[in-house]
Amino acid sequence: MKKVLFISRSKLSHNLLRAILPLAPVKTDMDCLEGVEEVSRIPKRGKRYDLLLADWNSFSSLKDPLQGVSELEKHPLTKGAKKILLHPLAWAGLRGLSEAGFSFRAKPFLPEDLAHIIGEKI
Amino acid sequence: MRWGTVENRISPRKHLRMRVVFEDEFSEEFLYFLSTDISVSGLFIESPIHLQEKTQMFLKFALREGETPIQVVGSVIRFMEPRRGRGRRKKKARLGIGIRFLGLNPQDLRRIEDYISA
Repeated sequence: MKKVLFISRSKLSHNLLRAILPLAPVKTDMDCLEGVEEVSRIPKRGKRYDLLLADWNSFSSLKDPLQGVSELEKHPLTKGAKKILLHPLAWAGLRGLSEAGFSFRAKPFLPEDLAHIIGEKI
Repeated sequence: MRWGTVENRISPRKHLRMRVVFEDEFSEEFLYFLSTDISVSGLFIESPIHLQEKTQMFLKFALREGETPIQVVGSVIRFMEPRRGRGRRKKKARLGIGIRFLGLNPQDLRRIEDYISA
């Protein structure tokens, strides 16, 4: 069972992604957070996350987005995870995310395509 | 809701093959699906995912390429396979979701009516 952490301020997106996960080619278990600042509240013990899927909105409200990246790198369960950032088509980008190992995908997705993207990474 | 014969439908429908975007609560596009048909009361989208009945979502779609999109709240009526006439389902018929419009504004209602009657 692969573990995915999805970070987005949109609870609606959490629900939609949960509905999509069964399409992924690999069995996955998903946890959701609303913001990167919540990562520090994840228990430090347990199975590591294989994939971190973050919406750009989980970084954009932070004064310093790189601090959010730092939280991900510090936490033992997230630091080794592959990372994908979901962003709108017209998006200026956030400095530092490429260097932090994020790959980027533009929304919106067909459900099958998003499931495929998740399956590719894990 | 069964998308059956014209005589049994609440409102007539017309073929519509367009992107139907699901937006999140911050009006950002997240997912999209392809519609198969539309009526003034709702539309049918092809979907491999199952959403529970009464699930509500924010929809955005256009009736024709390049037109101003319609934005409306929708509610899942049923998850089903579209029937193509009487008899057995086609083997490769795709799964889909019937969605009812909630609170369609009069202007957009008129646009859909005009589209269907055209």
